Amino acid sequence: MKKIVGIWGSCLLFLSGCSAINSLDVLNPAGSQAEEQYSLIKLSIYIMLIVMVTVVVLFVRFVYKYRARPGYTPEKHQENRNKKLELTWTILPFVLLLILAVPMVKSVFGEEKQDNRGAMKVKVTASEYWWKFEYPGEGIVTSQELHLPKGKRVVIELHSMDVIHSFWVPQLGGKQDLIPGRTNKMAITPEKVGTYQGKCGEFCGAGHSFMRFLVKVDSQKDYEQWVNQMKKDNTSSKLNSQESDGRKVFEANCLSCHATSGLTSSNQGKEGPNLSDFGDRERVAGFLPNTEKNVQKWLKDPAKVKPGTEMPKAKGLSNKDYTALSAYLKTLKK
Amino acid sequence: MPFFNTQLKFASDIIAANISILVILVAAVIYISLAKKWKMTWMLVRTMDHRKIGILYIAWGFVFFLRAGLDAMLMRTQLAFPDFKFWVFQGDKYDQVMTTHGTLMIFFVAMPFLIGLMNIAVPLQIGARDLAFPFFNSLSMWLFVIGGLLINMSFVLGGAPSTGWTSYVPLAVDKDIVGNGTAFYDMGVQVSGIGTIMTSINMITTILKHRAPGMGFMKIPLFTWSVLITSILILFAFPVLSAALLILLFDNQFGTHIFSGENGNPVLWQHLFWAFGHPEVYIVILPAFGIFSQVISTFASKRIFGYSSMVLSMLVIGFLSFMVWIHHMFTVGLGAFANVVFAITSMLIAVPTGIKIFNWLFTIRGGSVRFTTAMLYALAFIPSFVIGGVTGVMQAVVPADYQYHDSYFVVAHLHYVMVGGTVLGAFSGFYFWWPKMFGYILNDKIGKWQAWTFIIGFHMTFLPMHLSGLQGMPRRTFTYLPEDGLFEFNFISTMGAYLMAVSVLLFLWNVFYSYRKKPRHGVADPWDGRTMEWAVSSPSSHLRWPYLPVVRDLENLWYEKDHGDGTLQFSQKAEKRIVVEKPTIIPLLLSGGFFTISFGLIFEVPLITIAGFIGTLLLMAWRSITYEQSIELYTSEQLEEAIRREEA
Amino acid sequence: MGVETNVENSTETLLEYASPRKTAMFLFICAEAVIFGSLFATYFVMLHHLGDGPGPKEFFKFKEIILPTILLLSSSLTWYLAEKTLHVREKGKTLFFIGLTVLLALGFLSLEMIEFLKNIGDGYTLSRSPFISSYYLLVGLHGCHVLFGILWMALLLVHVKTKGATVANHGRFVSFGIYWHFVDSVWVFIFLLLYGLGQFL
Repeated sequence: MKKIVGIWGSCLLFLSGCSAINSLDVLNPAGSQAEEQYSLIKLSIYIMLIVMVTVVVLFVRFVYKYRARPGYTPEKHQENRNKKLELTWTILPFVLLLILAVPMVKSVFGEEKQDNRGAMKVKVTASEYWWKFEYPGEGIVTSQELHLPKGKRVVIELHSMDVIHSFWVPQLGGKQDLIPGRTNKMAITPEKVGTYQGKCGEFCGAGHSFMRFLVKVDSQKDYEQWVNQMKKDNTSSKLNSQESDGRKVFEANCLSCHATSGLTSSNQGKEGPNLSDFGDRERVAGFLPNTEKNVQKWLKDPAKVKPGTEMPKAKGLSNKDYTALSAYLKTLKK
Repeated sequence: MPFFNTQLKFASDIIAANISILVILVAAVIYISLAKKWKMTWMLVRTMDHRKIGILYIAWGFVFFLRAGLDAMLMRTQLAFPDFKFWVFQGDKYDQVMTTHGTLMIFFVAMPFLIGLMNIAVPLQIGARDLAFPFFNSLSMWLFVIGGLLINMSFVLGGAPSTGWTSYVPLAVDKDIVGNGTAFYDMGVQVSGIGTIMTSINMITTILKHRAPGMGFMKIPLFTWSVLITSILILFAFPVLSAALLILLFDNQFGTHIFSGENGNPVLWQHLFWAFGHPEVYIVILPAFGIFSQVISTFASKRIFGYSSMVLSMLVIGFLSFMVWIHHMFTVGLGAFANVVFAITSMLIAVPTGIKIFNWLFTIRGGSVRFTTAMLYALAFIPSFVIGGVTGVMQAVVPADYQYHDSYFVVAHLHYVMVGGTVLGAFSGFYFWWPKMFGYILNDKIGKWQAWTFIIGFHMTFLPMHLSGLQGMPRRTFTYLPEDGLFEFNFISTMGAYLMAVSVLLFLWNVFYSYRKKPRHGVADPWDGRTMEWAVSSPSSHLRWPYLPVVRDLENLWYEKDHGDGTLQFSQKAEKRIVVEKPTIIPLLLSGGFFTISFGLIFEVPLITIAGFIGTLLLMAWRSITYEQSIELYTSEQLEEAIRREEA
Repeated sequence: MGVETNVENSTETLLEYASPRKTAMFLFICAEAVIFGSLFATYFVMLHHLGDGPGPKEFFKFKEIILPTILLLSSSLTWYLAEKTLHVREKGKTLFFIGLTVLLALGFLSLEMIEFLKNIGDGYTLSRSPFISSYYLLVGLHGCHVLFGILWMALLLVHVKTKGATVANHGRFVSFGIYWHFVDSVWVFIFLLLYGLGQFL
């Protein structure tokens, strides 16, 4: 028993101090909201550590001292109540909870009262199993990758097309649910340049595990450059013969759901991710490295790569068609 | 293969499942025939004896425990390595075993284990001859069995429920959901829920109306107190679930859109579900608290410390449990005010729970601790549960919960409370009351091996999950990527899970081994017991106490040992009308009726449903009409005579 | 072993026998009340989920519900009389009042069926809008309780006819009485909160 308690105790100490565990996403915040959450997590761990240590010390002492053994007879008078002690362990927890509750209440209402007027807005729409990011201020759309400038408060408006999802970027801030028929809002303020993993936090079906996205935080300048790039058309780029074959395949099979800038999607109801910057993306299908092999693997049997995906298998395409298609997709760059 | 309105597909996992079902059934039939136990089986399924019904609860609970445990093994194997493909358990199949695991463990393992122990111990502890309504007791048990079988069958009948034990809408009624999973979940839980509500009514009535003379409220043993409070929680919590499931059934099978669709309200389901779901957490933990109170006091050879504050804190926990449900929904976006209010009520629960922990500790202080297996489990519970408790308080901190919510941190927390509380409690209760159930003691040496492997396996499995949660692993995912940095934590968890599986097998071995080896006498009071259940023979007999025992103290038997000759005092008052119900098959048939109704609803065959309804109503009428023939009436003298005849 | 007879029908045995049953029935009613409470809550949430369907003012026809309400509420009274007459062992009268209660309940139920059919005729089917669904669920569940009550009373008729005023029958009457008064009081809430309040929403 002691051993287990010891392990747990050292783990907690580890959590609060050791740098190895500090690499855990939640404990390694890169945004001010995550920072605040982290500080509350730390505070609660410290308080809970007090509780744990008290219980464990008493536990070990009592179990050891009062174990039945030859030559030991318990006192005749057995204490069955003790008002002072009982009051102590009724009142002290209240005090500990108060220490925890006050900063919690402050934090919740503080976030609520934040001024959002100067904030940047992003509209996030989740579907089974991908993410759409709209930047109403800039008039651009991306999917699977969210680009944000460093140091700016971003208000995220959350929508869902089908079931409940949850928007979670552990290093930038906690979750908020995306619920069909309801608009939620949350704010994040990235403080460090970098790429952060985002995940769906609410179980949403077979492909839940792969419903991921990336958040790329750039300096204000880089971000603006990226926005300008996005606004440009990319259809002007010269295509070689294989790539233009691929384009034909794309137009015949994919265009009904996927838009690339310059080409509009004809099917609004069955909208898939916008592919205008596909060539720039790090990931295909939201989680695989964007290599030609993975692109083809994904295109050939989407349901095998990402269970439950809405993307159908294209019918009657040859290997050559797939090669051409993936070559074409690579040209979709900004 | 077409099956009513669905298609059954025979993949390798389904075939394996079918074969194992077949093998188990054939083995059971062969065993019963060879051991000439058909008559005993026939007696057992018709029994009205609270002890035997309790045993059936636990036995069926154990069957579902093995199934749900197997699911856990499949899940942990699939999660052992990053981007791993174990058999078929990715995507939807993983979701199916994950959902079955959760649903079974909570509704069909934790609940029956505890209700089984309640059945065995409560009437004995309060000096009652049986529960107030033995017939309904049997019916409740069979309804639970039917519900469990429905959930279990779904895997081979077109697809198990796959949307988690919380079955959030609109996912649960989504068009993409394979098979009739949601309907199976809905009816399985609904049917067993009806049984659970009946049990709670039964328990409350028994405890309120059938206590032995002299047992005032402050002389009720703590386990019985916990059962009383639990039953009240069930009474007010389960009907909310029934209503929610009714609506879900209509949304899923009859095309309404209350929870889903363009105009529906998915958050309403969450409110209803958690308004039930949070009290449910306390429903499965309070009886475990009761068990620990009995076990710790017995093996510390000391009266429980702070009895009245123990009772009071349970009442407070029960009361608060109805006003904290929104802490499951902090990320839904109900607003800062709602979140803060519910965060504070949630934190408050820590206070009465803390009181209980310290009372247990101070019960040990000044006592003389005997380390039996039951006590080992009870002792392991204290620090384990405190870990689960403090992580619970940590999650009440709203902004921090935005991080923990629906991550593996929550998985770790809930298992620390459910396994560290309920399952340890159930095992402790098994070892403690086993002699009362079967008349033999479980081997202590194997028991200790089992306890240690279980405790170590348990911490190995769930401790790393806190960390994988903080590393950003969402719950209910079937895999993770190599780059996520989750491999080590998950691998340790998987190893721990295997160790727990070994422990469960050890328990089965212990049952078998002790059954063959142990002497069957001298087991009426093996632990130097303190409450009244240790004053009757082991196993307890159904006909007992022609004159009711008189209660003079909270620890009535201990009081007699201390002040008297160590045997109970009995009332002088002769009773004129002692009702004993005869065995009957009607509860089993009635549950068959409920099964038929459910089957028809699940597969959308109205004729079967209607037939089920008519059959059920006819059976109920039949029971009502034959009631006078199905009971035996005794006076005290006649009962005494009957007991003498039975013993001879 | 004794056999059930009228002889041991003393007040003491009656009370002793009925007491746990009363408790249990009361607890059962608590559970039922929670179910209905949840459905009421659902109904009130769904007031804002009308879809393209009608709102409560348009949907509920207050005047048409008055007659069924009177029928059902008076059945509580006739049941009370049935219980009273059993106590004084007037078997004939008891049978008569049970019969009357059954008739009143049947009247209520058929009027409710007519209302349902009319609604469906108007295009207000079960799945028209979440609001209407929640109405059907709540009122339908209550209707099922009335139907179950009718079947239960039919059974009680048989019991009284064959056995008279035995201890067991007293117990049965106590149980059913609690049930029936509860079903009626749920209707009062439906009447007030759905049909009544609906006129002002």
